[in-house]
Amino acid sequence: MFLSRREMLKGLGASIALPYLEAIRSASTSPVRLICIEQVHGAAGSSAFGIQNNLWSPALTGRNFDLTPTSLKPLEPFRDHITIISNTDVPSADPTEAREIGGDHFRSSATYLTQTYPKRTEGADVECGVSLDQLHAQRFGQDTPIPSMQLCIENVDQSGGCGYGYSCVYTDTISWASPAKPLPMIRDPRVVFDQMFGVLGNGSADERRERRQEDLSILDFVRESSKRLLNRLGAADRVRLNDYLDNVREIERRIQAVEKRHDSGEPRELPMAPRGVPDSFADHVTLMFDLQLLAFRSDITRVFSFKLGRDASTRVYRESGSTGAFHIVSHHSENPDRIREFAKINTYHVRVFAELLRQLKETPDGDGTMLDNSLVIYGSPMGNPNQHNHRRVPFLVAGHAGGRIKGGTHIRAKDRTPLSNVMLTLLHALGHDDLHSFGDSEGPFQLE
Amino acid sequence: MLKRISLALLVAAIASTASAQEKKVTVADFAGTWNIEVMSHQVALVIEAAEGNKATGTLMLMGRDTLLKGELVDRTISFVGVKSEANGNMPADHQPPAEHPVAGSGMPPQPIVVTLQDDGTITGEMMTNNGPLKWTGEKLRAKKKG
Repeated sequence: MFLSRREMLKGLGASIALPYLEAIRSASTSPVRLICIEQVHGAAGSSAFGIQNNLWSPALTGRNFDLTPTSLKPLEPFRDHITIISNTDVPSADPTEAREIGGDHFRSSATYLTQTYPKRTEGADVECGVSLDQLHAQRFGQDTPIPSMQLCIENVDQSGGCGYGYSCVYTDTISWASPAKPLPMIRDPRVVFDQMFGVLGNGSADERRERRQEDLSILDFVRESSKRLLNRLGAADRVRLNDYLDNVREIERRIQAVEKRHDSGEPRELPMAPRGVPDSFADHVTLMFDLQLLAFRSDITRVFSFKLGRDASTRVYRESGSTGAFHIVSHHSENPDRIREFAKINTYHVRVFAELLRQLKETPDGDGTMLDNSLVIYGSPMGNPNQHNHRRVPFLVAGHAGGRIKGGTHIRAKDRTPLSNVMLTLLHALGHDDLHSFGDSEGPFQLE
Repeated sequence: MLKRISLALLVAAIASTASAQEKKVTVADFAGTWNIEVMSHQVALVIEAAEGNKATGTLMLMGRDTLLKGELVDRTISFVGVKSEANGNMPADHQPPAEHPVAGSGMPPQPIVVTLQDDGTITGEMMTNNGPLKWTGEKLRAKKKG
């Protein structure tokens, strides 16, 4: 029996796309998925001390790199899947005139995936470039119900000008559908979940709201439909489908638990955050990662962008071992002890990121794993946060992009290489072979 | 032997003098927009050449523009502030606290001393609430936008 890739479990007010099943797999090949993650405000390893002590990128280039002293140490289990590219710059984030000097926080994020200079304006006439994720979604995202999704961890509800004459949209998103169209990012896991499972079907906003109030599961609404499908599947696919539905339910249960806790009146660490947002950074990021994986498994979308914070965040990442506020710690005054403290936060963020790679690697996909068939970009448009510069920025990619990226290597770029060269090559790996330039690129970058 | 050493010293002295004459610094060498780093903050300092060894400037610091006037001696211009006004760069919730060493007064700490280095960068010093503060700066490179 063969199933259409577009077959779904349907019920009143809910629809669930199917995961990859044998019955579907034989009729299609595994697509490449893309996740673009911004680690905000640079890295300790981009300072002079950090470079000398390999706090971000390893000392050796090639395949024999040692991650031990670096913030990338949590990626050791995935070393064959990662490509570290060090010593690149993001010149499009540099100031071009006196009024722009000092405004790095307010334009940096906009340059990350566009590699384009953002126009200094506080008005509606914002202008940057089309971001890498959107270039990909516009060409290859039309095969899925949602071409792309944009997620974030910290608040993006600012308006007007944020500073130095820059509109807040430049700091609020890393995804640009066109030079004049920044895309909003979603912070609330509940909204992500509802978009993933509501947009496909016949559920109205009221019906979804009612479902939430009654504390029901989306599975309750598709029970009959899933029962019918299970009867048609072979034994192995039945296990896969049940496992997938359990996974959907587990994520939904976690979102409901967060909402319930926040409705209880208990004091919150993030009192202004939506009720579906976990107060814990790790819980929030992990939930967002789980939703991304679920979207990939069910082919709801193949493209995500994900912003992990804000440059000026005062969040304290206690799990990192640092007790200082993020932004304060990032301004380390080039003091070695303080740089090492910032490195702890970088390492912690990478540790949370590693959890995504673990799940991708453990998820079978076609003849390999989901990590084999993904391209995950992780980096920052900022270099040394203490100087607000955009030189020697932290950057790596994970995954083999369906075999187009070999991985397992560290490449140190020549001085003054723009990161846009690397991004141009990544776009080629994603199938955009006809692209000759991207942002301020000067040419492709050798990734082997 | 002594003659040889004397000759070598003489040649070195002449070369040094010639070099110094070639590298005579003028206010025009300072003219342009400088990105200076003051206590981990990027600050714009725009310098314009005026008559003779005089210079004017604008320091864009912590949401304020301060107009400066100064005079070059050797490789150093000593500036003083003449007028300061808000430039709208910093929204209310980004204003530095009053106790910040370079914030609050509206007028910059004085004087501001700017020295041109051989590598084309500038170094400087300004007096602040917390005492003298050293800084470094690079000239803003012209870059194509878009």
